[in-house]
Amino acid sequence: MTGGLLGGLWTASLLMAASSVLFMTGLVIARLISEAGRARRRARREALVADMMSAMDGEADAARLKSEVREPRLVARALLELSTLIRGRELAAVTAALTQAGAEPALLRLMRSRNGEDQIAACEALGLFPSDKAAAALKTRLKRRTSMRVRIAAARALLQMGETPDLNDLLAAFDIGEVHAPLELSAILDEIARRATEAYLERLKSSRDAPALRAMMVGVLGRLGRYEALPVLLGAASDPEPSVRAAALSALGALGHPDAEPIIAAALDDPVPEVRAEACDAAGRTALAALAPRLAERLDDDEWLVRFRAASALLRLGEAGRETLDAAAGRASPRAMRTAQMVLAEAAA
Amino acid sequence: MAALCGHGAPIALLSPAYNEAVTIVQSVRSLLSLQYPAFEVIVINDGSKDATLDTLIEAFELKPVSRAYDLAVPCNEIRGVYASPRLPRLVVIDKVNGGKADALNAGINISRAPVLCSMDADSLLEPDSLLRAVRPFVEDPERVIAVGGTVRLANGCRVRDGRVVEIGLGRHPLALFQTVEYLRAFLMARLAWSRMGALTIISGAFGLFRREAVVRAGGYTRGTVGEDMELVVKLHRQMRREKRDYRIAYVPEPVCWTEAPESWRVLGRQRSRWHRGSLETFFRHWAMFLNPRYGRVGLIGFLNIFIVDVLGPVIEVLGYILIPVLWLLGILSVEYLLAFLALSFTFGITISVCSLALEEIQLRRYPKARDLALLTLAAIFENFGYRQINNLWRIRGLWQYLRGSESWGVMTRKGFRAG
Repeated sequence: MTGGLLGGLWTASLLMAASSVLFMTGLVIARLISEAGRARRRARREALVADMMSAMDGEADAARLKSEVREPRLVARALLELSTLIRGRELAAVTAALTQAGAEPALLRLMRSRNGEDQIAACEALGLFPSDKAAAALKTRLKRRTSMRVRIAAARALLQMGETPDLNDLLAAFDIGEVHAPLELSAILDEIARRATEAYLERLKSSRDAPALRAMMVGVLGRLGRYEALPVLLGAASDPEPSVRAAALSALGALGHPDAEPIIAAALDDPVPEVRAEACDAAGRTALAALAPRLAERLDDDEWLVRFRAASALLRLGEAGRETLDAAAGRASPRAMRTAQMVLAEAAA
Repeated sequence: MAALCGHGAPIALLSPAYNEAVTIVQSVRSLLSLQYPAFEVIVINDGSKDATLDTLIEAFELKPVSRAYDLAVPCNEIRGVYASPRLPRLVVIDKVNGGKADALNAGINISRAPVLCSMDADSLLEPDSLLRAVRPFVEDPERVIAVGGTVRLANGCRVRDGRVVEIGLGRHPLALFQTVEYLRAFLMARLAWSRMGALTIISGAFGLFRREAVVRAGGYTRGTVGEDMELVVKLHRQMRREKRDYRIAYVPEPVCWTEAPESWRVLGRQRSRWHRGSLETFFRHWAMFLNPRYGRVGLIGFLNIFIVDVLGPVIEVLGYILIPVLWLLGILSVEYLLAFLALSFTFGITISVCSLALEEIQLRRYPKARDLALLTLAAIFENFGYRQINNLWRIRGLWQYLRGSESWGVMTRKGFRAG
């Protein structure tokens, strides 16, 4: 029994030691091989970039480009890098030369690769080749259960080539869970809201999305700056979720429409401090001078953030707000007085 | 919350500085050049005895300003706030010395952004680290209250204008051992703990926090040496007590570079202090230990601290003492001793190798195969000598804790390798 235990301990130790050493040796060898390959890839990439630069001037070596597109992984990455530096006619000349060399089918093949990074690069690069075939492939990719990053890359590529994916299909494709909304989605939603405002507002009205996504969608409306969003924003300002209410008030402040006054006034008494703070901001940005007395009340709020935003909003209201703030600095409660004095001192500096 | 739902939540970078006159200008320039749409850098001069404040005033043409702020969390007297119209993103606070936690509290009071980033004045952030670290706050604005990032060692790296421009490995054995330790701690341990929802530490060198949650928890506890761990535990405690749904996340990509000590004495002081911090936190929040009310943090996270930090060094050192004694008394089976030692060492090596493999497969930050081979050797040799000395430092930390020492000790740095 004891001999067995002893043997077991030694066997386990030897197995762990051997597998660790073998594994690391394997990784070091793999690295050595990939280092050698990297040097070769770097040389091929430099040659490809030089050929693409020649294509900009209409002097592409078609035969060489044709052989280079046999490595779509390299083409996708080099093209994406170049597209951050050039635009317009020059970029169009490069993509035209690559199309002639057969880059599009090569990128479509790369999109089917098992490697996620390759799929993303292929999707993004395809965005520079606006064709029905590429758009159809990207739409299929968007619907497939691949990684979220690949689907985001496909959506961005579609927008890049001028296609506007249907918002309902897009959100169904992302299958956003209870709380998460990927950061990159915000930029995609910005673009969709700009291109298909009506459908965007309809989706928001339905209130069927997770709170994080709804808050993100409402935030997009603040950046969109279109008055037709006002009814939806007014509705969102009474949403049961505080993050949605706060986002709606922030967007209402950005929009600056006076019809929002009753909703902003009501939100000044919201139970959640962040919402009250956004309401103060919105009142200031919309120049709702009639709300000056209500903002003065908020100078005595339990939360510093609300007190500070109320004082800052009063400053934005011009003379009426300034007078209210001056009065608070002289004879309000100690808390309101200190806030008013500090904000006035900061403004005077 | 609305601010967290857009493209980038505003962030206040809190950088406490104490006697950093030599490096502060370069550090601040590096921070100001970070890639992020909305951030402000708040440098807190914690009553430095050298010319830290004057250097900042001169270099950035700062002037005293009035800034409205609330004393939301306790801190020593703020003597003045400085800013420059030329650099609207920079704010410098001058305050009476009170230690790192106190300085961070002053920064929290002055800050207005919904997200705070605490860091060390001598740490270097990668240009896009904020963009990556803020992601959990934007993607899950209702629940995420803190995010930790990976800290790596800049020893051996080439640094230019406050940026790591070439990644390398320190050649000193201590730097190599610590590199393996950091990889193990960040890529294995913290990732696993965060997935389990029981992460109890976010490094003070780089961590993002939701300001509102930190203020509710009372800010950093002053007079502690492990203020980073203590704050995270306090946040857990506060959220559990309020029965709020929350998440403390760890993101492996955002990288902050720091310099590791290459002197036994300085490293020993640092490790004793870390251990003291860990014990302080454990005993300050003793009520959470194995308390089901605090969920996995109390049941698993605190049990881990108890075994690894409270009992671990004592048992290991006791073992080193007892082995020769028992051998002399003739009641020790040398066969079993060797077998258990082998198992313990190879287990340690396997864990380290797994971290290296994760690094190599997922991140591949070290550019040369030689670096990987060196780290593998370090993962093996750290078990023979370094690990044992580390335990002695931890025992010293325990002794200092029992004596109630609050000293930080002097942290001497060699300086980054210029590019």
